[in-house]
Amino acid sequence: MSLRIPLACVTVIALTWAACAPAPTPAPALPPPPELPDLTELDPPVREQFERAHQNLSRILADERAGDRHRAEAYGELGRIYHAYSHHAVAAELYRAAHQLEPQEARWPHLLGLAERQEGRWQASADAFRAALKLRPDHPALHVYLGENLLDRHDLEPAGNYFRAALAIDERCERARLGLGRVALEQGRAEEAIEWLEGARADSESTAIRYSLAMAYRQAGQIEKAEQLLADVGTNHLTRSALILVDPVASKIQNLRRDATYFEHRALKAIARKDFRRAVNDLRHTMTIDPERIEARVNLALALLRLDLRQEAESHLNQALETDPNYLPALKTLAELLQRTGRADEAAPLLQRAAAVEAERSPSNRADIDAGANP
Amino acid sequence: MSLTSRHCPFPRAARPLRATPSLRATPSLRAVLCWIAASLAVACTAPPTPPTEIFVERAAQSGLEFRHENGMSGELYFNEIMGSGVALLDFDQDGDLDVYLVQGGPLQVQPPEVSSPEDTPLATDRLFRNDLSDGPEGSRAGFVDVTEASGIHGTCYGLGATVGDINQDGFPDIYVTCFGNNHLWLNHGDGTFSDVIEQSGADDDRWSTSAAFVDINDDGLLDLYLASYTVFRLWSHKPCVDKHGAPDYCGPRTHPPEPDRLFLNQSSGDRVSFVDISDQLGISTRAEAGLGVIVFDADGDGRQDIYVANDQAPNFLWMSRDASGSLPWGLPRLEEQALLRGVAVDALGRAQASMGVDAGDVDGDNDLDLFMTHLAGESNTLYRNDGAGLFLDQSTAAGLAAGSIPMTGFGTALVDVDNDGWLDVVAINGEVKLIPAQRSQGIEPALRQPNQLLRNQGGQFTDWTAAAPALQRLEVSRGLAVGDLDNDGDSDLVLINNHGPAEVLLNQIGSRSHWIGLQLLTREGRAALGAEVRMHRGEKVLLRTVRRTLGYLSSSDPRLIFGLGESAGWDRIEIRWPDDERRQITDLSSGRYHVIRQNGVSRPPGPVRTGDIAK
Repeated sequence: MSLRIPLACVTVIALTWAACAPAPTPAPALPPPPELPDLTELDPPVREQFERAHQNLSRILADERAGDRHRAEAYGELGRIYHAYSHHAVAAELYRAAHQLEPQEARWPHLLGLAERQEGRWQASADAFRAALKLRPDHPALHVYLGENLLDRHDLEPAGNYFRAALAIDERCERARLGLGRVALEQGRAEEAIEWLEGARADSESTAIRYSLAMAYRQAGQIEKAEQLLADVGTNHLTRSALILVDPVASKIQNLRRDATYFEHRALKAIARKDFRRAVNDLRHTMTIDPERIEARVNLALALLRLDLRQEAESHLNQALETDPNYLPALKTLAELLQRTGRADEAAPLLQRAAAVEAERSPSNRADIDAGANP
Repeated sequence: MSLTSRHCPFPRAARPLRATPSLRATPSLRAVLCWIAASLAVACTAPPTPPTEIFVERAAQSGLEFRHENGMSGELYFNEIMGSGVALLDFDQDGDLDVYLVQGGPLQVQPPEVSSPEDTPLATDRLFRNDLSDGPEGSRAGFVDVTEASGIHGTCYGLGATVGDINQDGFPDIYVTCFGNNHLWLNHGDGTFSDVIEQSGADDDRWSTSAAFVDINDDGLLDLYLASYTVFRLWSHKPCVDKHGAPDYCGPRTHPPEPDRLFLNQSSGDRVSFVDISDQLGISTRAEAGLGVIVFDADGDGRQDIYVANDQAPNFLWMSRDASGSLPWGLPRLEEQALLRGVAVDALGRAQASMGVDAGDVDGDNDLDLFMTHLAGESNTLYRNDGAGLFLDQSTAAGLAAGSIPMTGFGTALVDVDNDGWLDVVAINGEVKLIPAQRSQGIEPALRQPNQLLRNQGGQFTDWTAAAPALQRLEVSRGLAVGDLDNDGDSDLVLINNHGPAEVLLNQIGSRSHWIGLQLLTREGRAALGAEVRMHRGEKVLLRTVRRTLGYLSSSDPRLIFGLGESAGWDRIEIRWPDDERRQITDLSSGRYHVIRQNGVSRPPGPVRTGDIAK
């Protein structure tokens, strides 16, 4: 009796549910162009990018002669703009539409997989990468992404298989070696992890590899080796440990960015590797997008000085002081430049002003100023 | 269309069925059939009782009305996004938890020139006394604002609060961290406090965040670890922008970080005195933007180690080591070992933006693991301890990573919400970068996100937030404290939202399970911070530690609750006191609290509602 009632229930439910199941539906309708984000405060080139891509999609959707491929390209292009500025959910919707229109094009599920991954939707991301892989089984990055997805979910054996497949296509793929090392590390096979990671380390200075290798040596009980590796890494590198994966589809996304912050960051990286010519180019570009960026303007002046372009540097320092007459880095840099070029009399008032600003901000005066928080 | 369609799992007919009109689903018929199916499904599968919401929000009903003000004025000052913390403490020693809430305040480079009597009074920190009352459904927390009567006048731009009995008089004192000079509220035991920060030697005029009391040299006095953020003043504010170039809040790397500090308690009698020992112990040699602090024994050697969650920088783990008398005051050596021990960065060696942190045995293997919250785009991280103090990032394997990626987490706690013996995770969230969609709708602050609850089942976590609608409200949550506000044997939550209200979330399910509550007091009569308690139940060991500071800027209930699930049975309880003395207990009844004093030394008198043993 105890079984009969549930069985009867199940049968009736199954029959009734089957009967009321919806009829097959046609392919889902394509989404309309998303609503434009608030563009009012954006850098002008970014605003133009969004507006142009939106208009393009609307125009093509309105054009009855436009073919599916054309429409897919317009959806995908707008998706990439959203993707570049981290609107991953919107980008994913647009890529999905592009994929629906052009199911034989591997780029769309590839980009969809990347956007879904950024949103933390692992399953949707893996599904998209698998769809891309069916179309481009020779693309090592897709194997790596799938391996990393599975590794992140602790599905270690299949993850290892994907990394091995990537290596079979490209034996120099460090991300695949790193992946295999991490799989072995997670499985407690320290010696195997060391083998994979030492192999990867030979070709890379990546912090990710060194750190994982240190953890593998630690797991193997070789603490001194682990300590040595960690000391080599250095604390500063821990904030920038990305290991580049050759993926032309993904790198096109970054290259779409047109905002001042992007060029400024790129310039700072160039300065860090002493590529001052590149830094000057990027900072000049930053200034054309956002002339009010005082810190970037002073950095531009400093980079120009490294290239011995003193006149232009002086001009930028003066412009910085027009924006903020008390901006200490500009005051000090300009004063130093003037002194070096034998114009000590012009430097003197700047130095006096810098001293006054510093005195005003000294701890003894700071209390009063900060008391604004404690009236 | 034929019914042989792939959407209908009926047996495929040899030829197209044209009849079966009764099953050809017109909209109205389909609705009726679906209703029948749904009704049957409910009838066959519904549990005998309706599901209960895990937490219910009761701030207003319980009298705890407080609104945090972050001073936002459109300038997007860096510190507007930080929010503040909350402390739970039994300040009047009447056996229930009172609440201290930290206030922000206005942010102005120049103070207002004149203030008139009509001006809105300045919002300040608030102290709420809990007047627990008995009702038909058990005890009920009821809060009364006693700030004025207590003498507390916390007017700094406050960040965090931590609690400890610094002068060993049996009454907990409160240290409040600020953007600027801090407060140290000494509890006189008569309901009043006075600020002794100036004479204490434990002040700091920088930007302090979390603070934690720890007896670093085992002299019985609580010393103070103080985390600091960055070198920032309102006049050094810089405009920052988001990826699109729109104005936004700055990140921690916009300004140089400040080193943390450690103050040694040398108080005696009525004299409160701390000495800065940061240089002697090497604390001042390292500077990162510190936020969360937790004190725990990482490697099981019986010494209290200090973990600091740093923002966009490698975290610190200060391991306490025997100095063999080479340092004054019996101080230990502190060695910073986070990187080697695997808790400085994530599995790929990337420093993360760590905010809140807690330590607890999440996998039931009898050691303390670490969990911390992070910025959106990064996952929250669980570092599992191998028992010897070496950790491995196991966030994804434990199911804690994926769901956290879209969230920026701050306050957090490892807490056994359902008293099943496994520590669940509460993570409270709120962005630090403006959310464009919220900004365009005029929502302020445009940083709102829902909070999360993750259920621990044997060391594996699943999202449990859907069963706790009270956590899903969109706010900018920051400080979180955990404690049993109504003394019913389960863990309630008090959280504080940045530029928003405080919330009291009462646990509705924990007390349905069996439980035992313990309050551990040292010989001196204060909470035995750092004591470890292991409850043995067959092969299983439940490990819990006495702590106050956990999560982000906040201080929790130091009492321990052992969730026993469906069976009240247990074998023995082993206590390891902070000075490494051991004790075993086998005869406590479940369903109530027990006060356990080290060596049976009496504590100051006070009405204690819970059971009390002193052996």
